[in-house]
Amino acid sequence: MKGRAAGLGKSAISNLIIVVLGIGMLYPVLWLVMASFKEGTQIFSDPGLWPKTWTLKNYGKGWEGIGIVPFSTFFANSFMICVSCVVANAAFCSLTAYAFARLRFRGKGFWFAVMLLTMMLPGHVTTIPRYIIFRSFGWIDTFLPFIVPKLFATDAFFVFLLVQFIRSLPKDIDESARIDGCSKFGIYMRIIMPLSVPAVITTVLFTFLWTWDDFFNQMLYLNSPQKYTVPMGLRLFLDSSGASSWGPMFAMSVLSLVPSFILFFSLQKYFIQGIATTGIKG
Amino acid sequence: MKRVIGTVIALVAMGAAAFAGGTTEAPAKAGATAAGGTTAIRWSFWGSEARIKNTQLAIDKFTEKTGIIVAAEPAPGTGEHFAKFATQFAGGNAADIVQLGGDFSNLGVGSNVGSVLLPLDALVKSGALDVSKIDASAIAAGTVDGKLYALPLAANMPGILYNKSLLERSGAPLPKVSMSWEEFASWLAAVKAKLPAGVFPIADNSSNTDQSYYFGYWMRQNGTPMWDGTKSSVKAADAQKYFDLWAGWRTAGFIPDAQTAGGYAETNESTSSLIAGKVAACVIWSNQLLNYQNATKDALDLVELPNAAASRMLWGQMSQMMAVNKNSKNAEAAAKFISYRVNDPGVWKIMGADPGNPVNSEARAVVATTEIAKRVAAYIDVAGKHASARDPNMPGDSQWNNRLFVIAQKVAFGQSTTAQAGQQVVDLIAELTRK
Repeated sequence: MKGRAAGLGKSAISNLIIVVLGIGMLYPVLWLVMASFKEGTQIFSDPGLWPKTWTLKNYGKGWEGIGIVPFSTFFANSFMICVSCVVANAAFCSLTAYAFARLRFRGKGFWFAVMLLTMMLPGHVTTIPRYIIFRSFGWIDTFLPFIVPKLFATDAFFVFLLVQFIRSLPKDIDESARIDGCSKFGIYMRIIMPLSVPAVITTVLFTFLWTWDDFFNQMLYLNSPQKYTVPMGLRLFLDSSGASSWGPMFAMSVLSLVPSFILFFSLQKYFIQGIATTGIKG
Repeated sequence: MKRVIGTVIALVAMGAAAFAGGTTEAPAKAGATAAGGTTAIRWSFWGSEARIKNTQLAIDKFTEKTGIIVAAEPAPGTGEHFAKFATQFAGGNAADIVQLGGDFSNLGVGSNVGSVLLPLDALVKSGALDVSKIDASAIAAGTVDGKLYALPLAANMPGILYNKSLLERSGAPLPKVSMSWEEFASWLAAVKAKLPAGVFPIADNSSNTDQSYYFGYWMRQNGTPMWDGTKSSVKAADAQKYFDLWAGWRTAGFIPDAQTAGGYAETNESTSSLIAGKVAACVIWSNQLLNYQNATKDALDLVELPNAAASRMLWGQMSQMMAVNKNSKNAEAAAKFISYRVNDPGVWKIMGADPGNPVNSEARAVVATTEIAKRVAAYIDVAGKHASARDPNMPGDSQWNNRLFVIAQKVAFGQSTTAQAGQQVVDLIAELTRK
């Protein structure tokens, strides 16, 4: 009886710590949501959580965007880029991973090492060479620099993640399928892909989140405000040397969280399964 | 199954092709002559929604007048603008007109400005660029080695922002626009006596990275300027006096304790202890008044830094210099647009005092229409008379800002004495200017 009480006590303490830490981690998001309902003059002069007066003006003004372009355009542009990148990464990273994990071809080890090396190269090192290449293709101020590289499975992290997952699948299934007359591509489509759903979902989720949140590359390649994306639109509400609109920026930040939240929570089950089975949980 | 993969490839390829042009029609591709013989130029700048919206209105009027198409390329943020410009320039794709800050330091080319920008003197001679109504100080700021490379839109000055409503509510005296150091210290003491507990007379600006020009002002008015282009006059004893001043204010309770002050970066209204209601005054640039005022219901106003009237060592910091890319194929059209932006009263009416106090003498009257613009103009009317030519930037000034922050913080938290900090400052200046 004593032991049970002690166990309950321990569990209560650990739960309490987790709840406190959870609230601590959620506080900035809660503050952001609450600040989006505050008057501009209240946001920093009254930095508490609860607004003294509530207003929806920030959402209206934020949705109007930057005057010459509504915020809905930024959302539409971000969705276009994200959906294209997600589809391309899911299709081509899994195909490449299948080749590395299951097929035999000359120089396989070398190319796998080259692929891993691209993960270790800091992104900033390749910024200017990439810019020069895309400029020579005439792709500046278009969405092509974000989408086309994904058609060539250039996100080595996802290829590696999927390779790890596919390697964990029993080879016997492939062999049975081959005996039954299934082609290599058929094995990929009928066996590997259905079994790799958790890892593919992880790829989809990370691709969406990283593309949705990417500010630097989008800022670099897009010049016309009509093509700007959500991260760029949010930053355009602020200017240290001119007029800043913190309220509308917070309001649109709240809206910008919605797609990521929906995607994450709807795919949470697969995502956790993917993390647990691809070896990236540490 | 092959059909499925084929469909995916086709979908993505079609999507990529369709999205290549974006969602809506973009402005004409600039940099050369557009269809129908129309000249088209690109202008890269930074700013928030108000500036972008008004800029487009101004551009439309310019195109109506001249037939020259200007594609606006607003960067989201000042630092981002320069990162993008550097990449574009390296990639041979920089805009025809490039906006700079208050000087050429953001270009990262030292005094070799001609490696990036086009000298504008020939365009002034040809009449494409009219500088007849531009203040001489503004032309001097845009000139390097005798060649004009840029024209600023406006000038701003450092000042002490104070919360007028808070002082009135507390029964504390309002500051005089011009004060000596003694008068200023007396005012701080009088304010301290009236403010409620936990609220301090002035912010600790001794260590704020973005506000370290305060150190520069203190040295100028002390007769020991930081950098005259070849050497620094700062001695360890002078720098120690600066840190002693702040340490004295900290002990007297004129500025918040180090722990409280450390919670406010004091870089803009979002990190300001004044807006948070913790202090009654802080140092800002005059063009920041708009953002600070928009962040509080209390009335705010500006006064000079102490001893400005006697020393005449305040200075105007140029704002938003406009320059032409040296590789521009349409330099004349670019110069015409700069001339229009700097001189045309109509465009100033649209843009207002957004960049600060205009360097065009006629434009100053046009923009002083809003309450805040009037307050800034009134401040500059007084402070402008107490200003002298700005000293050149010390080499490595961004490193200077970051390291002064650490030196001052160590004093605030009791990890260094003011004498040690004074010596560290002198060592730092020697290190940066030796490079």
